[in-house]
Amino acid sequence: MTDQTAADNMMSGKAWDDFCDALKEAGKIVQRPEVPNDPFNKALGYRFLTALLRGGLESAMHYADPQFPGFFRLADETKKLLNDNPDNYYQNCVIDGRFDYRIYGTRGTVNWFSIGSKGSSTDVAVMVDTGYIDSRQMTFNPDGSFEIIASATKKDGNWLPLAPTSRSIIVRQTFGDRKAEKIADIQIECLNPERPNNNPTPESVERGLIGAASFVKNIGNMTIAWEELYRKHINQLPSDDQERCQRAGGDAAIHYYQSYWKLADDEAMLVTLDDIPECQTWNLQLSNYWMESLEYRFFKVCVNKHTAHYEPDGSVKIVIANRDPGPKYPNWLNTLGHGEGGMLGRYVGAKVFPPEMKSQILKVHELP
Amino acid sequence: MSDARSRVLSGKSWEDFCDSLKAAGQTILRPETPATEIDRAEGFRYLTRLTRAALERMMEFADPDFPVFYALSHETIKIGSDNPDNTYRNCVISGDRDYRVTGTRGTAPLMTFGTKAERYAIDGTQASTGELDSKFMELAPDGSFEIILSATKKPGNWLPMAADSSMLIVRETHFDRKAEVPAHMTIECLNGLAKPKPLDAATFDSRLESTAAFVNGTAKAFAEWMAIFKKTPNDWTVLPQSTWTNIGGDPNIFYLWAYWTLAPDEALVIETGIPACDYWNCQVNNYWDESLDYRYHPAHINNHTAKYKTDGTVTVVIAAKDIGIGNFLDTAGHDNGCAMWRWVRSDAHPIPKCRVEKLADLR
Repeated sequence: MTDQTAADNMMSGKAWDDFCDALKEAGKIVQRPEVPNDPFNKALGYRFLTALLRGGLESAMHYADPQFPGFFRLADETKKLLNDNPDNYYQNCVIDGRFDYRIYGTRGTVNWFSIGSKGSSTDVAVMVDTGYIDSRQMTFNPDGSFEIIASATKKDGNWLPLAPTSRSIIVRQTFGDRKAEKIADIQIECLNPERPNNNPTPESVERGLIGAASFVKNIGNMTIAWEELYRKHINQLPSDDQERCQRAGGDAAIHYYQSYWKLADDEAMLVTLDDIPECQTWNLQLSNYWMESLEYRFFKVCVNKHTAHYEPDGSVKIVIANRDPGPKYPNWLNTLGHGEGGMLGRYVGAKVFPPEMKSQILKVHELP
Repeated sequence: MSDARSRVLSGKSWEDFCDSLKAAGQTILRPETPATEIDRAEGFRYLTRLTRAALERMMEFADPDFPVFYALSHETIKIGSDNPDNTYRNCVISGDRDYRVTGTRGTAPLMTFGTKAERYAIDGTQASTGELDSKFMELAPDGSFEIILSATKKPGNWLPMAADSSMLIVRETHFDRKAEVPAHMTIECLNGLAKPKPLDAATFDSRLESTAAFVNGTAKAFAEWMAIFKKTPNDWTVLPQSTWTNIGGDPNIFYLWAYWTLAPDEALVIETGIPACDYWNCQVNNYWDESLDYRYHPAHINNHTAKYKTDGTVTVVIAAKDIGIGNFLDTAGHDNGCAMWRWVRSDAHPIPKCRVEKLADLR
């Protein structure tokens, strides 16, 4: 795309027409044969595309200028993807490792937060780690304020390493009890922008439109491909391919157990964690077919180290079911009328990793 | 199976949504819109921003039983001369339910709450159905507050609704955002469902249609206003204030709009006396009525940030560069656009005088 072609496409409206056509084409993802063929899962699928569209526009256009950066949220309460963690507050930022940045803010009260630099902005298939810092390694002022310099050359104080190829920053703030904790307030500025302003150009807007539509299409297809992998071990929670998880923007401190659940209305999946390793936290969450975390604002769809009820021997029993299994099972994760979907277990900051999270399928009334 | 459900199942509702978005592109190409690269690029970017706003409003925050505040305008979504001094909060409500807003007031000098009913089909208006000003609100000693929204009068802080109220707008206006403590607030429905229902295909279908309609309708409405303002370039288009309150404007505010068009060596000079008022501001927007990027440019001034002359009057200079005269607002690479003046709870509403001058003559 030359500047002249981009200018012509913007003046004629072709860039916009092409974008709308690409979105329409992306809609065919929901019609793929792997997708559950019912109005509920299809409606969820198209809504998923609208959420990806919002996230794609933010990352590829509205927060895409690395010289005038800003944090946005690729996943939040109403934008969900790839088994987003209900215990996390995610923030994303498009940067360019050839520039220097100041990240500043206040600590808040979440247990910990991590800031990683990655070698790609939106292509989650190739997100290479280029730097990492977390709150345990950082120095804070007495009032809780902090400053981090992000740059390719080493700096004194809190430093987030970048490579010249770094293209994004991901912040993960991890809650113990989401409602009781205050997130760190984090801002960013570019220290050495070259351009005088961040006005869009035909080229940057067309690139943004193409990027947003590609994001919808790529994440949509990737979600189905991942679910096909997880359908090979339905209702089990084996350790995942950690390298693939990391390439998709995973957190280096997390060990992932990713899978697929499928239950009849009267069935329950009993997960027994009797070998929890020493770790900062762990959790297990439910998602829908589109790997969107289920509605955690209003329902219990996730349990973690802090919110779990423990058995006298220190083990944890979790029941995944559409029906309330009763007071014997306080760790009930509600499938909210879904019949199947994704699920994900995490051990965070552990040194040893059990080969699986043990599970069995029972009728709800047959639970021990 | 219902029509709506089969439309979702077959993919027809998605295709219609994409076609309807495509049709919105025609608004950016209307014959009177500026045929410059930056205005077109910003025009299509504006449609993408409206798409995000519409999805939030019509899809994600559309359940009056489980209302959550979202912002229809902020740093990267801008609609209808959004005020850079404001933190906006929007929320879907329903006049047949009751709601409680709880929060902390913070220190922003102004904060108003308004409920609205969309009566486009009846008389083309977005009618005001209740207004509450924080100035007249009861606050607890620690600055916390509670407001009840209902169609029937309630003791304490009461924000009225009508049976057809469907929207709550909160405008929190800062004089100096960085120096002030922001308000925090949440809303809950007091007599709705206990838990939200799972997504229903028919509901999804209608929300998707409303989303595209919002993008088309909003883009078209402001394009039509600009076509009117363009008839008297570089001066205010003075219209009865009911024009604005009928489409969701704040009744406390006296609004003035103008289309500006300037050569690189020209300035729009605006001069006015300042009446006794709680707040005033002036801002510069692009052709699509989006405030210019106030994070990086001087795009607005207000009663607190303005430099006053010794006689108490104010001069605003809208231009491509700052020559050190008056209060400079940067056109930031644009050669035309929109400007707005607001008088808020003001004793009088003078019309600031406008004239175009060569920058060289101003020195």
